[in-house]
Amino acid sequence: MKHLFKTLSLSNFNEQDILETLNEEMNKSDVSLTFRWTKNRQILFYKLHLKYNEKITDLLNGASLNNSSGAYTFHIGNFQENTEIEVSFGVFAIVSIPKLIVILSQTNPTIGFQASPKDTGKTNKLDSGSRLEETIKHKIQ
Amino acid sequence: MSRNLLILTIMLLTLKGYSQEMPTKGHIFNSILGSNSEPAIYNAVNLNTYELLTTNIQVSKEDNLQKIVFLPLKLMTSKNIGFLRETKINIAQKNGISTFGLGIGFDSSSPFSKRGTRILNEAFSGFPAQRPKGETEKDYEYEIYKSKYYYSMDSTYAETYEKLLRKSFKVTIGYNISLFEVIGGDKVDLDNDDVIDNYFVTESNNFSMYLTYIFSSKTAISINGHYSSALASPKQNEKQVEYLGGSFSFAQRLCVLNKKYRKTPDYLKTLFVPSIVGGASIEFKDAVSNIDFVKNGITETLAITPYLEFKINPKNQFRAGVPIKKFEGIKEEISFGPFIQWTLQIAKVD
Repeated sequence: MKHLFKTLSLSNFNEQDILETLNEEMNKSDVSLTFRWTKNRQILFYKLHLKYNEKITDLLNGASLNNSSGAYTFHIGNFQENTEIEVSFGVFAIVSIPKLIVILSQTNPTIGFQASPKDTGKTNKLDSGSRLEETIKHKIQ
Repeated sequence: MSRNLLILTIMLLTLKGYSQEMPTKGHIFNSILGSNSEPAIYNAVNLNTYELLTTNIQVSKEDNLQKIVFLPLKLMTSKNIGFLRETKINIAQKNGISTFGLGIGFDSSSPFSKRGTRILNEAFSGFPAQRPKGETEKDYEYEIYKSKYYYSMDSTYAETYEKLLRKSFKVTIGYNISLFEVIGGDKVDLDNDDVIDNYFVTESNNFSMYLTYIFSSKTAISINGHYSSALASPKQNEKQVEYLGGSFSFAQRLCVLNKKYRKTPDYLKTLFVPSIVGGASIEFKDAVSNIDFVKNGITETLAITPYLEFKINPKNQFRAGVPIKKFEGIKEEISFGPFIQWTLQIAKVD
């Protein structure tokens, strides 16, 4: 869910403030992390940490997520240009997962790249009961 | 007395020995599946395996067997193949008789069955996420937290697969055709007795059904039924003899060799429990028609193979057993035939 006007001061604002805040928000980049894996294979997302401005946030809000749809996208946040973020994820293969890739994407400008495995076109293979943990560093463009 | 005991011990360890690469999970039912459930009479036609590939070589004074059972659809990742995933192909050679078989099976302990999907869904529902390191938390404190977290995850995983095994069953229906050594060429009468010696090509047609029930990771049983129509030889004057038969085998974990096994990586990842398993296989085969044409004059065969299985670690497991065979027909005979069996299994890819 996108929250606009979070920075708008409710005690002192006018039309100009609304437009400026909106422009500022619309110029930010939405960053997402997408997992694609072999459909119908159960996977557990147990770790999704965002390090931003020296602060680490648990994007799973304390509860892991079990999914077998083969595709899942996490919204990481909205960031200004040149912001450096660090996203750490952990997944657990409840059954073996023959193919899994992780894609990081952003808007304004639209950018998307394969974050895991690093070599585009390659896939991860997870044995049943194994984990994959990685950290992705990204500078917003 | 002590000398007899020594001889018996040596016999137990040498009469039938096998070692095998075990599947990733389900070590108890593996003790009574495939050639382990029917080691003497039906070993050539047995289709009761659930691994990707099972090879079996058995050598004895009377019988020599080479066998492969392959489940090719296990290599496919699609869930749409459903129950066909357990389709199996059997190729065996026993005493010059070639056997080719096809079977379909159902395994309710599979994580891809409806039951399996439900159990897996429930297992990790509400499982906590890994929290980030606290601002004042020391590195070693966070490492301890992570170790406990991973152990909790691995334990939940092992318990889930134990649950999958409990009260689960496996069913296989199979058909095999066995062919004589010569399957083509001119029909000839080599001994000039006015009977074509290579008249028939098909030695037997075999239909079988296998049911394996797993009470828990400690106990499992297998009940199998067989119907076959067979010829004693390829000669022109032979008649088809119908046989009915079956087998029963069970396995029970007798003792655990490492009491702290629940914390070992082998258990957490593959449910392997270092233990001693005891059990027995009982096979029988009775001729029910054209009894005058039975092979070697044998109308009834009974084979009992009690065994002890030593599961040291996943790659070091040994079985010691004493197969006892009783034949009835023209003459009654009990044999105590030693055989060596070597089995290799490649686990299913999922």
